[in-house]
Amino acid sequence: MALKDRLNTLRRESGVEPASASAGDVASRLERLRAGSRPRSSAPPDAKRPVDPHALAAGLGARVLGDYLLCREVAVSAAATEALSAALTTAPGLPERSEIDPGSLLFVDTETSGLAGGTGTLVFLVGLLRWEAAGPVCRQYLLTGFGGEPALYQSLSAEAATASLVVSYNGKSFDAPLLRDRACLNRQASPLAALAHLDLLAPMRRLFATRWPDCRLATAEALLLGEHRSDDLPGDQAPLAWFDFVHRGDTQRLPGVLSHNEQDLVSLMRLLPPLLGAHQAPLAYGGDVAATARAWLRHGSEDRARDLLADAEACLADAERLELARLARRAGDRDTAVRIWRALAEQGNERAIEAIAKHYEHRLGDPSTALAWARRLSGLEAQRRCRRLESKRDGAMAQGELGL
Amino acid sequence: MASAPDNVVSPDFGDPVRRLAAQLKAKYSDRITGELTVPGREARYEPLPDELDGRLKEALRQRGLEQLYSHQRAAWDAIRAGQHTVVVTPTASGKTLCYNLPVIQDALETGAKALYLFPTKALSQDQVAELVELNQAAELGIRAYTFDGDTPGDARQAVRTKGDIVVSNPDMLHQGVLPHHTKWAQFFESLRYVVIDELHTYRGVFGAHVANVMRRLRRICRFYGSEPIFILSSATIANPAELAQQLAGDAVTAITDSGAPSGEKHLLLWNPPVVNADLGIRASARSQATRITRSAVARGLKGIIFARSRIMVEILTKYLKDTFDSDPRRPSRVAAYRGGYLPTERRRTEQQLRSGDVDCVVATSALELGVDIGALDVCVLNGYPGTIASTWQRIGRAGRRNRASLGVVVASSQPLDQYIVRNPDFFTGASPEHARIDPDQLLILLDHVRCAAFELSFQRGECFGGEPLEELLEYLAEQGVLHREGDAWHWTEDSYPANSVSLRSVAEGNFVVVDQTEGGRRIIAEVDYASAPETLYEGAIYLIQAVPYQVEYLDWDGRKAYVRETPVDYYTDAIDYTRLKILENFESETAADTDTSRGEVHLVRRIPGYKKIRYYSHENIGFGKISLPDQEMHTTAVWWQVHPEALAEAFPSRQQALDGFLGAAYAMHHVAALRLMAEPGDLGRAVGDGDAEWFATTGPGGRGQLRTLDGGEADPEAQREFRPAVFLYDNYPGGVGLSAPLFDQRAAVAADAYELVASCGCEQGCPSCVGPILASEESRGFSPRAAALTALERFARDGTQG
Repeated sequence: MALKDRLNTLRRESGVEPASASAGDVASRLERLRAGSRPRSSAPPDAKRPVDPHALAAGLGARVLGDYLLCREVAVSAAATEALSAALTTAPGLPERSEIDPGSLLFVDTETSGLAGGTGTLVFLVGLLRWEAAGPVCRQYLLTGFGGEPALYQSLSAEAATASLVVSYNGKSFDAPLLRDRACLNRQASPLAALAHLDLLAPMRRLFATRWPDCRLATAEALLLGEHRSDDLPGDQAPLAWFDFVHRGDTQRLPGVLSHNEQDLVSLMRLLPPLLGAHQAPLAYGGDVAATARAWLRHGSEDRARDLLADAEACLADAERLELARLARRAGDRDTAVRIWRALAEQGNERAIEAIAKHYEHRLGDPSTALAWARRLSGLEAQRRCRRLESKRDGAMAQGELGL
Repeated sequence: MASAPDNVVSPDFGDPVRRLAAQLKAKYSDRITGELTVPGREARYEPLPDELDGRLKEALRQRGLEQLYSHQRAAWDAIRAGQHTVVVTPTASGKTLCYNLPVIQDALETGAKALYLFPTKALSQDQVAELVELNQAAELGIRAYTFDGDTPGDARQAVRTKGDIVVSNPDMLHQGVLPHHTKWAQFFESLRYVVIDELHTYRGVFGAHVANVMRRLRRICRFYGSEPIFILSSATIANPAELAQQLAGDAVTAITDSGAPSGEKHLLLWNPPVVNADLGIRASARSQATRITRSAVARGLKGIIFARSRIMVEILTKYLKDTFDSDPRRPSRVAAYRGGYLPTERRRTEQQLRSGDVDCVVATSALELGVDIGALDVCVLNGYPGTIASTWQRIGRAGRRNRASLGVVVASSQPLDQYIVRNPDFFTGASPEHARIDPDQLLILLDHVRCAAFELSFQRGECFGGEPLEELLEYLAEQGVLHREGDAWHWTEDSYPANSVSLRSVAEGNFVVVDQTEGGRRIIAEVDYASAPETLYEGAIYLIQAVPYQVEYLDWDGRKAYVRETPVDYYTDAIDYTRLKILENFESETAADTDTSRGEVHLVRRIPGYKKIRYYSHENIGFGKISLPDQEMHTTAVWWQVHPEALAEAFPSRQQALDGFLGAAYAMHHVAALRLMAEPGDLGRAVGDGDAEWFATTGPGGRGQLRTLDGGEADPEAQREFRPAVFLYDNYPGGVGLSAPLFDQRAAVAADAYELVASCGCEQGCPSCVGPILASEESRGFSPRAAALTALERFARDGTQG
């Protein structure tokens, strides 16, 4: 092949190859070329064995859904769904999603040909977990070739039509955009676009980012569920497993990818109850109270934010205690507010001193005490406040004298 | 249309530029070897198109425009007729309106979108500022955004979905847009125009890459059902339509007749006077350029000097500042402008030029592009820029519509410069060069086939480039990069290929220059990787706006140079040792006395030390050592050798042979650049044995020296074997395809070089033929010019026979 020879000559000319290398077959020279530079994504496709889709489906416990598309369906233990239903009765939602209806959930996790992003990254496995009449079921759509993509996205759209909330882990920034992009490439509608999306990574980070070394799914499993996967396939091996299959017909690692994906989905569902619980009582789970309260507050649940802070008052930092005081005052609980301000003001906290001074000035109409507090503050603002209080106090004294 | 008074150039010697030109010609007639006067031109107008949107008409009116220049109207008509169009008109002829008008009109009419591509970020910013101004003038509601590496992440979504005009650069399109085209689906569906400004900059390797990025862009557009019209604009080159066609992938209408007015242009070719006839040494171009600029600025004219290197910019700036900026209480009248300055500093200088606060700017080619710097009167080129196109482009920076302007090309002693000033007809008569690109250069094409496959799977029967696509796809499939399934090839690698393909060069990371004067840590400049070894070694004097900073510590791995402002009266110049090893011989020709070959070489460049050179006297006042890693490069080369018996017969001593080969290499290097229509810097030259056992340099005494690997001096007579070769190599990593045409022209190169040296008016040799001759004939015992001719005669004779 003339072109190939020219390419090899050129590559040699351009210095890609070490000087010592000379003749040899193309494959081994390319191997050498790449040895030092970047890892091969897969072994070369030199020994491609044709794979019979029905045999493969049988081996994986799946059925053939179309050209290049298999579907594997497994029933999931009902224990997890029962735990979730129970949790939802006491804790109906999260700050970003106040009510969760278990019947409408669609847990989603994908395996891809890489993490690089961009349109060249293929989603080759989409796992779904959802409630059905007979109980929770996990359905996995596996591509056995690129030609299966249109059918895959049609199936996903059909699944999505009967659900209303996607639950994922980091899916908002990873899985969903990839599905959208690949669907677009295949001129299909984006399958999840119409559904609301609850990405559990956000609430997980809120609770535990400051408490745990990281918030990966495996870490959450270990620390919230007390589970450690033993024979799990490392996540970065999934692309290799698929490339091995596509290039060489090597199906050896595919079952590992399927069970990894299934476990991820089950974990997602099992993590929801502790996540719901931890948003009600962060301390009980070792979570970050202040961040949780802020989230409730941001989503309009001021009462819950205040209750969380009040329950944990003893272990709050100054800024969080001030926040509690602010919320208490807004709710009309001025005693709590003043108690907190006074305690902090005595330690010299400027914001607390200011709040106390305001309290005496505006609420109690006592400019003298207000002035005493305000004088402990520094800065231009404080000077103005003191001058104003002095004149108020003098005015009040003058009025008092007149009244005599 | 009545001729507007601002276009009439009367023969008025009261015009200060004309007066300066006349006085230079009278006083220095012996230095002026050629001159050319391009008469002024009146403006030619055409009415605004009737169909032009009323709001646009109003916006133009507010800027004082009631009609269009004829080329603007021609562009409008061609573009509205759906033709790809390239506009080739001089600087400041209103090129941007050629594309802004039809683009904005269509955006208002149909919501059409446009993509503007500029070679640099600075030009993009200028462009968006102009669009915003036009937009605000008439509240058009057109949204123009830049999209480049500086665009913050949270703003990108808005650019993708809301931008009517997105202004970017080819690199960003290549790495940031095309691989994510699905995010841009809306944009691509409505993309109607692709605007490529400064087309002439897309040549050589960069041009070949960009042509392939355009192939990818058109492929993505087809996917979304759009077929944009390409609008290109270019400075004067010989083949704008051809180059435009290579980028647009289709026939392009060329509009080359400018209707913009221009003042009369005077051009002088200037050869510095001979100051030492024995050694053939002329006064430096630097001294002449400084003198001409001084007299222009002293007359109240605004001027620009172009220098060929960054260091020359700094030296010229210092000399001019010594004259005009000696009083520190007054604002500066002289500014320097070059790559490596921070963007803010460059913007400030541009602003000062526009407002007329600065009288003179010294610049590298960085100011050759269309950055708006207002109108200047005089342009001095310190040395021939290497191409005719670039010369006109630079001279075009001077010139106001109603006044004469003056351009002076001051020749350096380099052979190419001397050739140009001694043969003024060559310059004044010839058309500018062709901008050549080879988008089908296999490695470049292969890179972009990979990128394109990542973006969209390839289908059987698709076309991409001029090579058999299926063979390329199968080649990639064999490597496991692609996977063929049925009639389609799909991407199957866990990688993002655009990240490993750089459009410009091997980007190894720039160095930053950190100023620690007064205990600070301020970044004051950036230096690209390739020029770092020769500019940022410890002890180097690094100049910024002619202020000397000494490099105190170089953190090579961290890509940082720590400098401190240091008052010194010298600058530093790195010593460069280059040696070559032949790795493979692709082809050879053996003749009676000589061998000429082409093949792959491994080149090692070492910078062992530097010289300190005093300002003004230019005497060498000391040396310093440099310890830097060697720079290595694989490339292709052509080399010439003389058979050992013939060599012994031709030269009485090996020393003479060495001097002869060095002189021949010098002449051949420059002639080859001219033959290949390349710039001298595109080629490198060396004399050595091809085994990297030794290489030759010209020592401080002006004699050839034979050096061993470690840089130590060796005696040529003591070598067991002595087979010197002249190497001319492709000066880019991997080569950019210069060695094959060079081998084809090997005979002509040798013959031209022989002719150049033989016809030179000097005695023993000079910088214009065989290089600077420092040692006198007495101390050397022979004429280096004759020695070079001895070598060249053999190369040329065998060439004509073969």
